Amino acid sequence: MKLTLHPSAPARLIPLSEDERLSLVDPRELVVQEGDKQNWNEVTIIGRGERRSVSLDVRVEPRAHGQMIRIFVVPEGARLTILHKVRLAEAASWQNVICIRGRGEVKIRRAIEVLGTGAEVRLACLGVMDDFSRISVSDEIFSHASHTKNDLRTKIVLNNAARSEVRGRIVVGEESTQSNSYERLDHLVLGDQAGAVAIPELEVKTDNVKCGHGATSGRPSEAELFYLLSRGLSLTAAERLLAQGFVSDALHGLPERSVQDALATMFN
Amino acid sequence: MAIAREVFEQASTHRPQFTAPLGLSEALVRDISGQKHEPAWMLAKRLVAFSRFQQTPLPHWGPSLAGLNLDAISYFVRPDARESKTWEDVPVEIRDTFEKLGIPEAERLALGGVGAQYDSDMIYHNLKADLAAKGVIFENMDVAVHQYPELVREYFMTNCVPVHDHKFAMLHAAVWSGGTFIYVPKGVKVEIPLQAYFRMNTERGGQFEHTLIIADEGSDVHYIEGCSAPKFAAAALHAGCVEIFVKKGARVRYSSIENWSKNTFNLNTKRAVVDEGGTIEWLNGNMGSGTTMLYPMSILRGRGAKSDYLGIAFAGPGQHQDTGHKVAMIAPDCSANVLSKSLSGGGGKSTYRGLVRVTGGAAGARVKVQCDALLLDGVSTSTTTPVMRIERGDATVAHEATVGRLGESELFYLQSRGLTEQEAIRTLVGGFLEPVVRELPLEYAVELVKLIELEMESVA
Repeated sequence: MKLTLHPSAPARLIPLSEDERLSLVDPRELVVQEGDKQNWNEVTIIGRGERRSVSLDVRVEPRAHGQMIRIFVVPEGARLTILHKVRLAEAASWQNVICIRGRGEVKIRRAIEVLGTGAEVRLACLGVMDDFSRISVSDEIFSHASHTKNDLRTKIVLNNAARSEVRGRIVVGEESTQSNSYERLDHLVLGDQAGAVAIPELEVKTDNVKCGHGATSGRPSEAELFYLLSRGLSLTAAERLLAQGFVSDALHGLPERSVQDALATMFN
Repeated sequence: MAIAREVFEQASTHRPQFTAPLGLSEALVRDISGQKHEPAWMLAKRLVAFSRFQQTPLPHWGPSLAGLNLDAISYFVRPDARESKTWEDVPVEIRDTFEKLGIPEAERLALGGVGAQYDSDMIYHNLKADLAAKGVIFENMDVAVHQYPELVREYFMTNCVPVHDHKFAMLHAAVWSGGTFIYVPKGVKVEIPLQAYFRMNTERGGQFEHTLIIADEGSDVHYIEGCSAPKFAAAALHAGCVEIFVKKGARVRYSSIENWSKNTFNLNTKRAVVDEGGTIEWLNGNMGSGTTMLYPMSILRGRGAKSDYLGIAFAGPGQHQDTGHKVAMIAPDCSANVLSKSLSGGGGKSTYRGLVRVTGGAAGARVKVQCDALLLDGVSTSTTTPVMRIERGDATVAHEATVGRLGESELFYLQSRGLTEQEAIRTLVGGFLEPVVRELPLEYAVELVKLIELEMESVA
């Protein structure tokens, strides 16, 4: 089956800049065959001062299921750009979790087109950003079929003077009746100099849908911190534990090994 | 008051004393200022704004303004009436219009002062004697320029909404006419609301009233604005401006029900600057106009300043209601609460476009934003675009939004109890809007609910 981009709302994947094109490695086109199940789980450590762009074009055919967990370590001076473009057919599902431990600059752009009835997409982006690092995330889901499920979550922990700009957009098209969409953008701010921008957008063009979004930005709860400190933890350890809890719920349902890898990379 | 669509949509037979030719020019800007015998500084402000307006493009975001031909608007229309302090002195055809809108009756029953504007000029202004005795000023803005020049010069389009703020603020500054000036002295509590009503009556007309409210330290005032215009085939433009200064420990409640006709572009600017311990409360109902771009803003610049916003927007057939609230916090311990409700039906588009900005100086900021959208059918659209820009680690910001339709089980339940489908829908919509409606004085709550019901008739 050949999938084509939907003409009314093409995905707005930002093209690579000249700099990003030069640093492009590992451009991949993946097809999850009809009725198949595929999992990818990878950890990538970017070199100090390295610039790297990774690009992925995925097609998930009818009744196929793809799950991809990508974990990146981005040290100081490194720059990482991630581009994903995904199209889903009827009753297909796609789950993608990107985990970042960053001290450098990170740019993530994902555009998902949900074209088949009953398709399901779950996107998550989790980050722990340190020092003067920068992360910019733009995720878009275009739902063009009925009975779809769309879930978009971003959870970023900001230490020191890290900065984050996160934009999520779900477009529920006229054909996307009986769909269920949810979007959530959360920042846990631990650094006094840290800053966050969140723009959770929803565009709904039909009525028979469930759709919601939420966004939060704040420090750990005083009561939770007090509880942990009173049990003998240092402030650093208590904050780390709360930060783990903050990101962990977005890892729910992933294989145990992947959850361990993600948490170990982000918090050790 | 019985509310029927004709009350709002029928034009009066009144013939204006002066109607400016269509289009905008420097000569017209000078003429407006000249007809009002304004001081030189105000003319200079108008001319600066006009010059900036000519150099500034239309906004590249938001709803389409393609149907708005700025060369086909009459920017200054003077009614054949002088401002009066009694309704008996208002020309009968103008008085009839306001009688039908229920303004004199409301004044008798529940208001401390009323202003009424017809096209470009105020035709009625009155304040109860006990409030005047306390030093409260409630005046036509044109008159205030002459009577209170120091206050007006200090606060009029300076550091709240500067003349260069955006394209339509520039236009407003160039051609503004009429509006309300309110000053509440230190410690004075105005127990009953003040109200102004703005009526556009001329085809291809524009209304650019300016509202300036200064609530001095520890004072308290509730100001209500209503707006409407008859329905014509040609486009009309409303680009008003509201500036509110809430001084230390003061509280201002600003309520507005805008019900312009479907041919009106409502491109309005509203902003409040709030000092230490002050509170601004916004209540905005947006109906009627074909295209609305309106984002009231609170600038919380004093420690512990507070902003509350409640908004309702209804987008029916052919309408695009692009509304929202902006809040900027620049002082410690500020808080803001935003609740926005929108209804879309008959192919209408509603957009919530908001901004929360917590700057580096706003220690301990707390913000909660909730926007709920209800779609009445499958051909209407709802969009939410909230922006949260947080520049401090200790800010607590939460945003929640839901978009949905009327629940089928609730509709079924109500119909099984004997309600018709339309009655059941009206009941559920009433419940959806209840958190906003209950904050209005009773008379206005009834009017708002009736207006929503009228709009829903057009959807049905």
